[in-house]
Amino acid sequence: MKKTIITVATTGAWPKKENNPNVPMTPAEIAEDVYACWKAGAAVAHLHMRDDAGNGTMDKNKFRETVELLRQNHPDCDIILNMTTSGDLNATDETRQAHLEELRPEMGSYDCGSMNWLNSSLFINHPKFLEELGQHMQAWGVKPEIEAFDPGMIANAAYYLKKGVLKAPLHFQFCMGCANGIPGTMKNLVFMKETMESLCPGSTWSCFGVGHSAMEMLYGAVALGGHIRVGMEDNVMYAKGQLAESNVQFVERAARVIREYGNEVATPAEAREILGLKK
Amino acid sequence: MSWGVYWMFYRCPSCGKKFKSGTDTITEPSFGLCPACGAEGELIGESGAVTPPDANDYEDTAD
Repeated sequence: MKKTIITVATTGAWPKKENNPNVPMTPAEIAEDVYACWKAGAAVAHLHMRDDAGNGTMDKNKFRETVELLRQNHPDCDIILNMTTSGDLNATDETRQAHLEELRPEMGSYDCGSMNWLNSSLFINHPKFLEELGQHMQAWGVKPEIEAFDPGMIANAAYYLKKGVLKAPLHFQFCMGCANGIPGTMKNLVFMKETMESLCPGSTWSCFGVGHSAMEMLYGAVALGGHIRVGMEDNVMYAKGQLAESNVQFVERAARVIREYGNEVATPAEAREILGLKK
Repeated sequence: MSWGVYWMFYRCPSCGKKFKSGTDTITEPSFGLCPACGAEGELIGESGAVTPPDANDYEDTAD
């Protein structure tokens, strides 16, 4: 039976308690939330950190504290940790990688191009940074999760694959419905998948839909043979007019959809097999 | 990294209703139109630095 991986993105860089009081913000809150989501079926946890004021930060001490709390309090938890490299627009190339070098998570995000950010700023991923990050991730044993906000970023990944900056098999996260990125429609999801299969054959993929496109992308991912990311980084609403009670609520819904479709929810061990990770 | 829904906030010039449309629904026919009377809204703010202080009072046109 086909296995579908659930990634939970618990926190992100933007939602605050005023957007949803249930967003985990501190290392202790994030560690407990990751554990609860693992018990609900998440195989991968995509981690962002916040500073003491609640703003996105790439402070490696926050990442370290979270990992230590998770391991100390829940040694049974074998969830795959996937750490962001894009948690603060003002971070330097160095601070975007320092936590990967020290903590060596199994996965890290790799935003494969630059774009406008919220119609007001720039989300810069300079070629020099991407080349350096790709080489470092190979050296440090961190598998890139290639975040593609539009098809051009898939083409960019193909270039880095040919150049040796990235190593096959690749794993993509299609980021659907973000402002300034590709809208989250089924037609666009199919196009992203086909573009990936054309340019980077043999790759695996996951997706998420921001806001109103979340459910369409959840069902689309399962039906098209991909994997799915859910969580409050992408949506603070569980349904129209209903704030999410927890990240677990999102994971449980994804697990229900996967099982009702006829697939099985991948365990972390099965996800490692699918993604080619060596723990 | 993602950043949630990007909102455009409107006020209806006909009936005064406050409403918002997310750019993730930009292809919807209801985008930017008053959900009460159907008039084209007057743009008064967006996500980020120009978010209205009473942003929670705006009805989502996709609801």
